Amino acid sequence: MTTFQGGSVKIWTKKLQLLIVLTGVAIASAVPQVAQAHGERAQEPFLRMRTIQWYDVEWTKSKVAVNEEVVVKGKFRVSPDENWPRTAAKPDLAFLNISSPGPVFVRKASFINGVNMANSSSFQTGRDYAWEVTLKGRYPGKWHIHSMLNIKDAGPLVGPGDWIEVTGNHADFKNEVKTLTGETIDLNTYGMANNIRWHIIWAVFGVAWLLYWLAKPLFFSRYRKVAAGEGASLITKTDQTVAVVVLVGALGLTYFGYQWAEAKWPITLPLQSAQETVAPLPTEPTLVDVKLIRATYRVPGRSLNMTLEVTNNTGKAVRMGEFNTATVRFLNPEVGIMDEMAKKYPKYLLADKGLTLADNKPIEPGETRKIEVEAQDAAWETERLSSLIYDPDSRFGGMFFFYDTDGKRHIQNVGGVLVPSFTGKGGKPKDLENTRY
Amino acid sequence: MMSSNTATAGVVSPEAERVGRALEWVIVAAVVLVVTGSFHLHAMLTMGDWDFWVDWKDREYWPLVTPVLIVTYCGALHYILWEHFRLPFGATLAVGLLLLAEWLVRYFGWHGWSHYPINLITPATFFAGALIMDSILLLSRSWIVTGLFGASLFGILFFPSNWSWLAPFHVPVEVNGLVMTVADLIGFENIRTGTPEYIRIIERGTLRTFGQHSAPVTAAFAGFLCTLMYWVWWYIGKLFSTVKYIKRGAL
Repeated sequence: MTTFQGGSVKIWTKKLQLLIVLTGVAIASAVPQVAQAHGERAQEPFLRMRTIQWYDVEWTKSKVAVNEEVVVKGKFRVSPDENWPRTAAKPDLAFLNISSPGPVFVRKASFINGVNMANSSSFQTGRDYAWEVTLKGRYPGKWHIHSMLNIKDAGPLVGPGDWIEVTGNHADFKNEVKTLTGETIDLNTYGMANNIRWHIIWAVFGVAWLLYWLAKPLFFSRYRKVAAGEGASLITKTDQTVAVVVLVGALGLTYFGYQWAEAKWPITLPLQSAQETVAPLPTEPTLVDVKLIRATYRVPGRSLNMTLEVTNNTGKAVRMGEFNTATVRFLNPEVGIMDEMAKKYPKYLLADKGLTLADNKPIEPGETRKIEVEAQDAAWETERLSSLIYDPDSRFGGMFFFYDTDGKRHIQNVGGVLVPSFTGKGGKPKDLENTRY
Repeated sequence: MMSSNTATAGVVSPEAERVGRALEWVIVAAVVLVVTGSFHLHAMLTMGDWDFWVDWKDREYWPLVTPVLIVTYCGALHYILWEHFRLPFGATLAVGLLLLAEWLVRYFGWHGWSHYPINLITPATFFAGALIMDSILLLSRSWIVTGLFGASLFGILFFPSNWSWLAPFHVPVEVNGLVMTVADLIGFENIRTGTPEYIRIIERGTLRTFGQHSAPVTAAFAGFLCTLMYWVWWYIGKLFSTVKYIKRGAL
């Protein structure tokens, strides 16, 4: 409609254009985006670095068919008390879980140190646990699968993840188990026909009652009569008879349904709720001591620089092979620990040349040496660990892996204050002026 | 609504009656949308997990929390439909719309999109108690009697009316040396990243008897609480259906 030529038409055209743009934006944002992986990067760095340290994690297969099994296994160390963040609850009650986009796998078994982990358990700080989860392919696709530990009052702490492809057809999926009453059932479809049958029976009953009333005049005429004080006349003898039938029918059907179920399934248990007790792995004596003197995070260089004092109490010379934090592995290429497990480790979490030492010579038995260590890789950014400097507690955590001349591994925790450096050179304490850092 | 303080209350022309009847279906559509959406939201925010997962349907929390929080809308709709229109089907309408919403969301969303098996996410049925409440309201014409008998039966009969489909999920199995029910096993096997096992609030508390049958004790307590909740929400229904007019000239 135009009252004035030109002016109003321009306004309407502009409004129309704006409406079209807004509609397009609304449609575009309403189209669901596919969220495939790496949601763990949204978790604060201090949680990932200072709580559960995942290591030796492997996925036995990268491709399985529907109904085929794959095992995800490894170890985790619960950070010691001195490194555990104050803002997160300790694992007094926790559950070994898997992070996956729904039941694209079914979990057939879950063990920690040989104990069945269908229930939850408590875990001791500073101790190690070996875990193993068996998954069975259920839904075809390429899925990112992480280990995970849910901790009560702290939330999920996600381990490393890797892609596993499931091939085949979901219609072929079978998940049979034998009950203690001797029946073999398929868990994927068990009880569904009976569920739907009873829901339909009750729904038909309920809808019939509703339709009885919906067939009559509903609001206006009834309202007028109620307002005039003639509401009692709206309830007829037929209505009362129908109500009696409905009352008796509902009571009777409830009774019949209960008795029928009791006769058909006489042996039933209540839901099982229990808490397991899991003994940690035996403690290995800590023969390589690490004392953190200073740690800085150089933002422009994406590197964590540590000054350490390392004491070798083993009987053999040791070298630092790896720094592991928040599932990212920084390897020292000069130590050469790219074994088969490391080669299969997810590439986005593996900085295979990421660990550099100012002095790479072996630390001799009985020697105490001050060493400068740099863990540098783009993973600090891609894994969103660099935002640690904005966390409520500017501390980091991780583990060092030392190797002696026999290849024996010595694991030692490290953690402490992390000072950010926002410039290329950064402020350096006087005693480090002659060092590389 | 027309004023009806006349001797000819209820007498209107056939034309007006036809238009009124057509308009009623518009009102029905609006009521369906509002009740379905709000009741489903209310249910999921309160008793959600207990009614959602088969491994949360225990003998203590599920038969207590669920009926107590579902009888709410039944009471409110009872007031609105009975007091103004002498229509007794408020409870059945409420639970029917709730179940419609629950099935749509679970079938298309949780099953169709996220691939959860239907037997893990089957909702409870509430029709037994709702039909009983509706019929008692009509026969007694009293909200007090309906609360005392109808609402308490809604709570008491919730567990037995659902046992017909739930019983097979409580058959025992042994898995890797552990005794579980089929429901526990279905819950364990179908990975739920945000639902660790310890978060299940089941089989805790002191609603127990010496006979190992917690369900009857819970049912009795649920019946008692449902009566109270029904009466409270009868008045919430009144609050939401009372119209006050501003007198002409008052402004």
